[in-house]
Amino acid sequence: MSLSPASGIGRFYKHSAKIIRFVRLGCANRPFYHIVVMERRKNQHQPVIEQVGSYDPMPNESNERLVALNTERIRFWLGKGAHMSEPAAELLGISGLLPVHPRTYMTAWRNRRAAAEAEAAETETSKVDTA
Amino acid sequence: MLPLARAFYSSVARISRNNRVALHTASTLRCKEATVVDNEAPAENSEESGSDASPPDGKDRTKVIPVETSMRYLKSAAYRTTYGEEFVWTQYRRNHKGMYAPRKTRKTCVRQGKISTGNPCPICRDEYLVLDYRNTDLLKQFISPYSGQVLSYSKTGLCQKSHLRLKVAVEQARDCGLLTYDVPFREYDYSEYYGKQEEPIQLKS
Amino acid sequence: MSLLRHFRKLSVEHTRRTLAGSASSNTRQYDKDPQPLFTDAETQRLLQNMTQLQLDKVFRKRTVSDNSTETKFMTTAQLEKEFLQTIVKANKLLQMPPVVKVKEDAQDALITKDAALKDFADTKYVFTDITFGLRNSERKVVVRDVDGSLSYASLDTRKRMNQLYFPLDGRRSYTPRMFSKPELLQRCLEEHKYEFVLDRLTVQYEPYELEFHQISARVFEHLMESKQFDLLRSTRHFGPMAFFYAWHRCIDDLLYDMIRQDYLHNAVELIALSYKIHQIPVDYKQTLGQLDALQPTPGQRALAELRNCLKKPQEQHIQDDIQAAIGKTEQDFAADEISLKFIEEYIGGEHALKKVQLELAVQTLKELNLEKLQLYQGLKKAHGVQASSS
Repeated sequence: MSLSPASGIGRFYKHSAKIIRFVRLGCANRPFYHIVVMERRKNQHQPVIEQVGSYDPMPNESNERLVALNTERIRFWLGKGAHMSEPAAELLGISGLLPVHPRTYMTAWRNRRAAAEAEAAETETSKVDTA
Repeated sequence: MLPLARAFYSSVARISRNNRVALHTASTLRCKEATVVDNEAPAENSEESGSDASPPDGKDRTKVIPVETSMRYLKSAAYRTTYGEEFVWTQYRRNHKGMYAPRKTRKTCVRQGKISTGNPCPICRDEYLVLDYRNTDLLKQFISPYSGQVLSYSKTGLCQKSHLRLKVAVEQARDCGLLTYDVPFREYDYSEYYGKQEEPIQLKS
Repeated sequence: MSLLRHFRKLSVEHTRRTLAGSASSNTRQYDKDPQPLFTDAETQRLLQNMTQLQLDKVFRKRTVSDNSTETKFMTTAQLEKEFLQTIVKANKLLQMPPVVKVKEDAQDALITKDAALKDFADTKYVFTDITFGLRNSERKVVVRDVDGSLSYASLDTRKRMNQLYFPLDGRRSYTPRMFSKPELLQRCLEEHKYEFVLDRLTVQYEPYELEFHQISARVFEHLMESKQFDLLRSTRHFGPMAFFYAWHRCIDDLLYDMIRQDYLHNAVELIALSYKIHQIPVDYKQTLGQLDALQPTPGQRALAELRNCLKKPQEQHIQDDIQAAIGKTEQDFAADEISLKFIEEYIGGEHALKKVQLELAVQTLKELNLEKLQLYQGLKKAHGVQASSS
């Protein structure tokens, strides 16, 4: 599958609904997302209007996930009334460009609870072992 | 081959080098090499001692030659006799059908520790030419003096595996600073480092 | 791709200050901010004069990807314009790398703290702004940590991200072994590859990074011991090198080299620079003014050299022939008188360290100059050339 250029080769219709979302590229078990502005009702692999960033969900050697955002163009398209997909909105919330998405708070809360429960279970088992 | 025949062959090879005779140099000069180069492992190579049951196989490439040996070889008389002042790949010519050689050279000359082809490439045919980042004399022979790039396998005749090992060795040598190259010029925008300043006095021209 | 596989084996150290031991503590560093003194117009002029414009060296043969040449027919006027353009281009190639103080990470990097976002993910997120038209130094790079706090990235992370999204030609994303291993650097210096090391340093590191300062200081100190200053003369690194020596009060080796090679104007400029940096109350401006009136700048000298190619042989005067044979003009002799006086004052003063060596060099040069002057006057008399009244 060939990558489309950043300036996009999709047809532009002035009054159609646009959306900022991910296009999953990469290989099997190795995703890599392009953050892209395109027509909302098209398939993610159809030609896009413009690429405004990238997101690598696999952590690198310094244990970081790298995201590139073309903030100027994202603000332009949001100003023109583009929608956002939920993962894209979450990512922009984490970055600080937009307010944090409630889903991110929910995930954080659930992770903390799971971690606390796991810790509690561990202390229980260690108590049982020592006793 | 008898020592006498071997000496004759090497002299014939020298005379008729222009006819592009394949030089299996290590095998032809093994007698003379034994005393000069192979001080590290005299037992295996010296025929005079007669420790080997069978004569040494010229196509055997299982033995790993250390880099220091290779570096000494490049300065030795044996190397000078074999290659003279030219590069190691200059006198080599590929064998192929028709006018035009295939676009890519062969994948490798050495299979399962032995030379598995006739007319092996310039690096594989001489086992004392070791491609290593420390062996700068050898690496420099494969770098163009005009463009600074590693010469293509279509010019040098190296097999693909040797060409890759050469590229890696050259890159490592440049990384370590053993090989110099022309660093791309970096132009500075002084306003980034000094902030906005008035122009310094320009040289009058 | 197979080449990249081999390079996984190379050490990938991204943290700053990973230079192994020896460079850090022994080398001289700038204690104050050197930038105001370096950017001063007078300092720049002195440094540019010291870095002579030797066209042969500036436009030496380099390896280029494209070896095509162009031949043109030109009128004399067009050629004159080309000469001026050549001098401009040469000055561009001699642009000095900035000398600035070491930049530390900003203390107030935090933007927001959000405890409610703690553990939202198991790794950090690094966001880089890839807006078109921004400078790399102005790009925003923010990091959302695992504990939920949003902060600006450290200088190290910024450099990595800039290199990733906007790669600079020749810069590596890992530290080259030449810089991370001190024995390899030592080997390079012993083989006198100073220009190569410094060129690679300008490309690999920013001038405000600690490694840049440490390694360049190491190079300059090694150069001081080996006295191969000619290798850097007429390159972009000569200016920062002279500034380094003047700042750390070790100009004597360079001075000795300049006197031996008969670059007395440069020697005076170097001494004047060191007086200026350490604010020693000696009046050097007058001497410099006199010398500037007598001798041309490097740019003018290079231009004259270019124009010489156009001169027809019958236009050469006897005067020029004599000057070419001896290597000095009348004005050069007068300038040398003034320079030697100034240099002797410096040697007699309290700031010179290697007085004996410098005295000997000055003495030798004086004798040489005397012989040259006698020869010059003799030749002029022999050919019946009128004494010039300039």
